[in-house]
Amino acid sequence: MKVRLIVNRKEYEVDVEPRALLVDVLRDLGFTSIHIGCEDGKCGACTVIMNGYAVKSCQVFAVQAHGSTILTAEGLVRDGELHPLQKAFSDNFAVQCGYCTPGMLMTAYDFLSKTDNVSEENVRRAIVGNLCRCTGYVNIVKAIIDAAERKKRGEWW
Amino acid sequence: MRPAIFEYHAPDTVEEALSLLEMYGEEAKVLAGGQSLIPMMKMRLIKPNHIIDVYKKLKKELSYIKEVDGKLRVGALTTHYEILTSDLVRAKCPILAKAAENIGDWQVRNIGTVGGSLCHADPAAHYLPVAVALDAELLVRSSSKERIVKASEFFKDVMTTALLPNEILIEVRVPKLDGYGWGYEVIQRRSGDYALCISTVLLRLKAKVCESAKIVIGGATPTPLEMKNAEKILEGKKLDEKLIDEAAVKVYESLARPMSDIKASAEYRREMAKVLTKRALTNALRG
Amino acid sequence: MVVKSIVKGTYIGKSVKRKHDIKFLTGKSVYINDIHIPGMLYCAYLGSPYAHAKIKSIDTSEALKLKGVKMILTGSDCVKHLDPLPVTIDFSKPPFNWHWRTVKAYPIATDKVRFVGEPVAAVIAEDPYIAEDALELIKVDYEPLPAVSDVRKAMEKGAPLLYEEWGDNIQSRFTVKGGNVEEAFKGADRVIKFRYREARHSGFPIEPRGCVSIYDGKADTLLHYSNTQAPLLARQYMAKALRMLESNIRIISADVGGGFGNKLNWGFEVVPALASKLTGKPVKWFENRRENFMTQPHNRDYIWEAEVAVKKDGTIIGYKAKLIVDVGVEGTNRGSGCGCGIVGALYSVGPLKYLEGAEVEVFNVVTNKSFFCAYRGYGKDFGARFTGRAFYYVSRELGIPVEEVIRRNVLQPGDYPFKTILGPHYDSANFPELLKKALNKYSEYNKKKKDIIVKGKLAGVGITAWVEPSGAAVPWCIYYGIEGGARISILPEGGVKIYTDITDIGQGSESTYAQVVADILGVKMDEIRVIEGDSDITGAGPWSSRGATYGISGLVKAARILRERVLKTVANMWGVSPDELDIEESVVYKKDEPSKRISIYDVARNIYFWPGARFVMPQDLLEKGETVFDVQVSWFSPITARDPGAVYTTHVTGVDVALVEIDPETGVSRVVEYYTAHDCGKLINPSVVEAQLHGGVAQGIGGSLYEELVYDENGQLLNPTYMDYLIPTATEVPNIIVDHIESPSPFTEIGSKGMGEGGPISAQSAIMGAIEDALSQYNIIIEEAPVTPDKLIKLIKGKK
Repeated sequence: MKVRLIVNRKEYEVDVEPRALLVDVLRDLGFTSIHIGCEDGKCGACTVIMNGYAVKSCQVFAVQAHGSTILTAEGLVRDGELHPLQKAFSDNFAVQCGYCTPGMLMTAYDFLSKTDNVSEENVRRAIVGNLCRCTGYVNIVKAIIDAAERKKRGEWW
Repeated sequence: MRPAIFEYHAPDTVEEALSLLEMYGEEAKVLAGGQSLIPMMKMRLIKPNHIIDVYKKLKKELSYIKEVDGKLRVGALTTHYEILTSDLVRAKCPILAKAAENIGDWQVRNIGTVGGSLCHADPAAHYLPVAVALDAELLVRSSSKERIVKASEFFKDVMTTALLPNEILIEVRVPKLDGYGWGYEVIQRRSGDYALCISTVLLRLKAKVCESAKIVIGGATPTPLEMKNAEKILEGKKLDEKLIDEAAVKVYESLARPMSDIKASAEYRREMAKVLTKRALTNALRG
Repeated sequence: MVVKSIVKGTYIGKSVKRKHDIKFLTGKSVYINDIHIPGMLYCAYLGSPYAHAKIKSIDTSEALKLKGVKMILTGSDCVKHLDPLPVTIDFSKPPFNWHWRTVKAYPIATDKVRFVGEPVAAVIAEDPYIAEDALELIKVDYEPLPAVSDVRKAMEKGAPLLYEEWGDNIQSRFTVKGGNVEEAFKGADRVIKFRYREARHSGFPIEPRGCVSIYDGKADTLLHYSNTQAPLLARQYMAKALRMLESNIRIISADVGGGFGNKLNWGFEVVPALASKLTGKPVKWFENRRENFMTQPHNRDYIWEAEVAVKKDGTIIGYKAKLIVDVGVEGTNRGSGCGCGIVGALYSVGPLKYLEGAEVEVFNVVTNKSFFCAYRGYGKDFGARFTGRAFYYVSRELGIPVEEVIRRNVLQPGDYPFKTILGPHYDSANFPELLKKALNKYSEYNKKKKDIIVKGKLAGVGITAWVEPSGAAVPWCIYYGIEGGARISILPEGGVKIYTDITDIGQGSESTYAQVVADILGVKMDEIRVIEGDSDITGAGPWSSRGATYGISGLVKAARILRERVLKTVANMWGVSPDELDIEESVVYKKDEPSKRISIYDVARNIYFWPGARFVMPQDLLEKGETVFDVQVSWFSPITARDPGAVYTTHVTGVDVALVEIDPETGVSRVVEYYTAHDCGKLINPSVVEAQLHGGVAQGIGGSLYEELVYDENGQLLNPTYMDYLIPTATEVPNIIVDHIESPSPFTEIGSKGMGEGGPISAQSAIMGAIEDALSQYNIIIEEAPVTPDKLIKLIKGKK
């Protein structure tokens, strides 16, 4: 089946089986920031933004996403510059092995775009669907709160 | 892990979806948000030959929250996120928003639907006891007819509902909670996990006198269980802590054989039904 | 050895940002599943549905017919083409001569399966979807056998035997002892008995295991990409199994998505390599999560039965104990986990100062579960649990506050270096200082505890003092410096290459090593490139927290030699003495005349090109042939050299405090806040250390309250998913505060100590203490981890 996707503002068309998972198709298109960590949908390493909502791309068939707009961690970078959210992660030592990182970024991006009053509590709740084994979440939470500040200051896109 | 091969259909209208169901019946599964269905297919626990995607093109038609004839009507494809952020729901039927808040995680709530959750009927799902407590009406449609199924009759067994193989859930109708106190208490091992036990409480109150009570326990038995004996203790009485305790103990006594699995033992679920009911009732009285 | 002074700490001790985070943030990282080679095939294993069964027959004919399936391998193919999986740890030989058994095994089961998920066939197909389809078409005829999943049942007479030839299920049994136990018990005022059990669990990093194997038939060489932590060790192992010359195998680590010791096993990677040989195509294997839960290394799952001899002032003077470890199937040829019991026994000594005698008998028992290999802690945590629990039992028995029991028992700074009675040789520590800091937190938490109780919940504060041995000098290629382990090279057209055998698996070694070399050699950190993770060049890997012990020491040694060589060369060029010169930011300059300067790269150019070494270098260097700015060294622990019993060179220490809140009606416990006063010797990058501790404590919280692999009596794993195996999410882990002190190690080059296993080692003791404190009104003693709400309610109800 033909599937058209707009990924990070570029259009792609692929021909896939109905059972092809969105995560596999996006990775085949070269977006390897999207990671596979499990099959029961709990780890969140495959999170992307689809049509304005963070979703786990391993729980979506590519055919369901036909015509969708997708944003990945690669797409946060603009003109070679790291997105303020990515900068916040780097500045706050929120990255260790990096496997959960892109998924965390996309969930955080979605959360920050929809939340006015960011607190430690609601940040923690927001990333419940992104498992991390390396960081204990401590610096990730700091980074997201820092990013919220940057957004308030108008450093955002 | 990846799913087995299937044929995919993305009908343009509800009628088309229904006629596909007529055609394929038991060989087909309806796909909404996919947050329950897709993991099962990936682990090859189920291998449907046909997938009927109602989400893709029917989302607009089947996703809404509106007030009609004094009740709230929620389209089956309304997502948990849409429910928990809906001003209408938060104002008029807040217990539904509370249930939605506890489901899964941020990503799941973005795409998972109320209809999908109700039809999947996992015993530990958050909406199930709420639907029963609210006496929700489920509007169900097939190619030939439409019918309303009461929530108390919808859930038959673990992941089994009154939905016939050729039917789709169209909408859920819930009452407005003006004049009601409500309580919703849940035990989860981690945030976002399936509930080990849920106590849902609705009290129609007039100056602390309980005109009617609904106590429904979820997560402890294959389908949500209404605790009628406990409700009788409260109805018609002026509620206080002592009465609440009595009702909670009655819940414990009534829940004779809760489920036991690796998540929790039967005894624990039973004990939690009591503890959570007490808390839910206390909150309902306050609010 | 005296700690040598450090040359200017521009980078050492600073929380320098990690250079390589950018690739992880922007999708430029290359994990094993990102490696795609044209023509690549996919390997998928068919795992046994039974925990214990004979394989009567396998019929792959239907599966082979499926379009896209290239080959299906079974046990008999392994027997034909491979040598049995090599044994990685063997104490049956001298000088140990322990009761220690190993078995012959192949990566795919031959006649019998012994754990659920054990491979019985491997499909090699064109894509992973087809491979999975093919798995369903393979017909296997099993004869199920009774399984045993409970370690105590496995030890009983008449238990189902995994290996009939053994006659029982004891893989090994040995005793470690020291001092005079009988005398110690005679002199005791009290003897306290206790038990403790910790459930089976492991790391399950978010990235599962995988490899891409490319065999070259013409040259009989193998290029093998893997997400292993240790390419060098993988190479040795694969060479033996594949019957290849080790020199013909090259293993390159992709970016590793978390290891924690769980990626130091290669049994599953042998078959893709063989498949590549047989098909002539690259073969990828990337396991799924279910497979991972069932077949990756497991850990913990031990039982302590102890008798502790104490004096009435609370000092612990001796103990006798049994340590029973459920190691799953005999897996010394799958992973090296059977050593955990040894480490656990040896390190039961903890920070105790007054031991006169100790004896621990260890049993490694086999059951029908996955094998044992390393998981952050590797038995150091078993040992720490022993002392951590003992503090609390002593406190209760004698009515002495636990923090006082700790204070009275811990070693003092002047005691170091300290040879313990069981063998470990401690380098340095300052427990009084750690305690001082921790006790401030302890009283702060006790105030917070009151606030929580007022609001209607229970709360408790727990404290523990602990030791983390690091930098093991154990057999099987942990010696540092093999294959370019510590090598530094200055290149004439700019840049300094440092080669380290510590693969960066997320711990940040790539940055921290650059920091150290930048300071010792005097070069700009940005000009350093770290080469690691390639067995053709280097790569024994990080494990046992050896990085800051062996990794750093080796590089420091090389950097010092290279620095001296550079200074001698420039001194010769300028006709001055090397003492008059210094190197900073990659420039050599005359100290009293800084305008006289030359970049180290220009010096290198002078040597390698024009006018050439003979005109530029001093006589002695020319005659010795040390004419390149490229130094490789090996480094060995000086204390292990003096005392072979000193298996671990350095010892990190700490005192941790945990504040736990419990809802007494639901049994739900939550760690509200966690603190660790931490001493890892000379600190290189505080933020990197803290980040490691955050993750480690989170894992410690997991093991205390949430994580356990649940098996039924038939050996079926009931929770092989992230949904049902409870790794803490962001709402289960609190803020974790770290305080640092530095007691430099006398045994490493700059006094640094390998660290990283602290959390799993310490957290559970502090948390269990906090839970007992919270439940003190019920006199509840915790004898088992994890403490689930279900268990807690049962305990509370039982006491009411």
